[in-house]
Amino acid sequence: MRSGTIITYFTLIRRLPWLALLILLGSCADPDTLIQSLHDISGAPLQYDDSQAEHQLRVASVAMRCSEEKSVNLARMQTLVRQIKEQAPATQLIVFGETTLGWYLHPDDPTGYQTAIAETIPGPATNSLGALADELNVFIAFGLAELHGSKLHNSQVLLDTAGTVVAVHRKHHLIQEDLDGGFTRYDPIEENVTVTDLYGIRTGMIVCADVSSVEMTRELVEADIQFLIHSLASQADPFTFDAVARQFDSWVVFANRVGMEGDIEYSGTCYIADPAGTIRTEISGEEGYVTATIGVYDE
Amino acid sequence: MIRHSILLLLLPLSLLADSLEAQPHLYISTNPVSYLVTLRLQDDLKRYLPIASGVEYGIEGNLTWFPESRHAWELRMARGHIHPISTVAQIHAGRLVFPWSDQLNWKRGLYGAVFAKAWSYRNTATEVRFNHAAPYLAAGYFKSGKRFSFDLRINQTLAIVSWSSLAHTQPGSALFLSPWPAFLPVIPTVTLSVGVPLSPHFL
Repeated sequence: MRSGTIITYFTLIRRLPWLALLILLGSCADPDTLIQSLHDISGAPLQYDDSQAEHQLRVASVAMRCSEEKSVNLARMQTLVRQIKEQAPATQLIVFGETTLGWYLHPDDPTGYQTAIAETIPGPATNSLGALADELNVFIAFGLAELHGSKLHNSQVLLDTAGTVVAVHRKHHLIQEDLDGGFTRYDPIEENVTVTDLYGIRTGMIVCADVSSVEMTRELVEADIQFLIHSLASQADPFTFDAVARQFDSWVVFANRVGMEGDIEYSGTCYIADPAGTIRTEISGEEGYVTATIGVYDE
Repeated sequence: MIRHSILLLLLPLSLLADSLEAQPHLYISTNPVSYLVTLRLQDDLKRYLPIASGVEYGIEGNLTWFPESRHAWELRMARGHIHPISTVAQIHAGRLVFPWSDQLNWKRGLYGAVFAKAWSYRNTATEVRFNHAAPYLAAGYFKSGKRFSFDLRINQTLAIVSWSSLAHTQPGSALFLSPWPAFLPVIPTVTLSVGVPLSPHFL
């Protein structure tokens, strides 16, 4: 073997750790994962003028304190819906967070717990809240553990003003907490993109980390949504800026839960943001709700 | 005719060569971390590593020109994917001042700098662009050897003007000390550049 070849091999071996590091870094991420960058969340606030918009929708985003008991949560949701309609009667859509019929991650037996509180769609909870939606003439969206065939899904359901289930979105981009809870990823994405017409506004739904799915983003953008219902179980502090609205080029309602569930404290951060990413209204750290009227142009 | 065409083609090159001869302190460099941040990385690394790339992504190139020992002009350009549905293109221009350098020692030194940068963030799914311009301050250390140059600096953005191709949107401006104020109200970024001198006077 020539000395030049030996030197080349030595050089290669010396560089192997760096090559291994690069390969390791590159192999850590799921190819369908979109990580928000500093560029996604930076910039000066932009003024989005929706005063001349052809379509208007009065939306409420609710931060609810969830109990371990499903019956307590269902009753609390009904109380909050009635309260919102009394205090803000023009509200046309009320959005609750992810899996609001129970705790998001039970510390003792997460899979057993989610299985025990899971329901079919339609089922008792959608029937009960559907009757309320019909009575109060309001759309209601909420998250629940759904029993779908033999599988458990982390789902978001949308009830119309007649109390009918008009859309179901099953979480696609699961995180560890979902897997711990026994939830199954719903595939394929194309069958899981539901776009509903809400008073002339094309409305899509995602659950929490679905926002990180590249394919889900592309499907919803191709569906040309104008408004996105984004339900979460989030510990995030209040935002100064919404990158999700810019990701989808749509209005976004961000609905969450608040308080301690086992060792985890949820922030209650809820907001409504316009397509420029400017947060129009926000609440955090307490049970309550925010409302805003969103304006959507035809083009 | 062919001869004239060749001469016309060679003329700009000869002018460039003359200018390089006349300006001995010209460097071309790149930010190696900007390439790294475009890779698929572990989530937190993907999120925070751009702080160490000066928030520059992808292919990045710089020209630094020293008209004399105590100051330099620099032009930086970068373009790359941030994630699968967005790209960012950016250009920076600024002046570096080396207060402690002199004629005998102008191959290395500490400096302060003032820059202006503009960048265009493009969502490739929606085709909406978000554009920004910002002044920033920098402080760093530059060193040039016979074959390579090295530059490490810290940057702090001061303010920002933003506008967008999104319909019904008016531009905005604000003080801007952090690209992630909800995380930290002030976030300086770090930029490493490695390059080569273009002038034979350094060889």
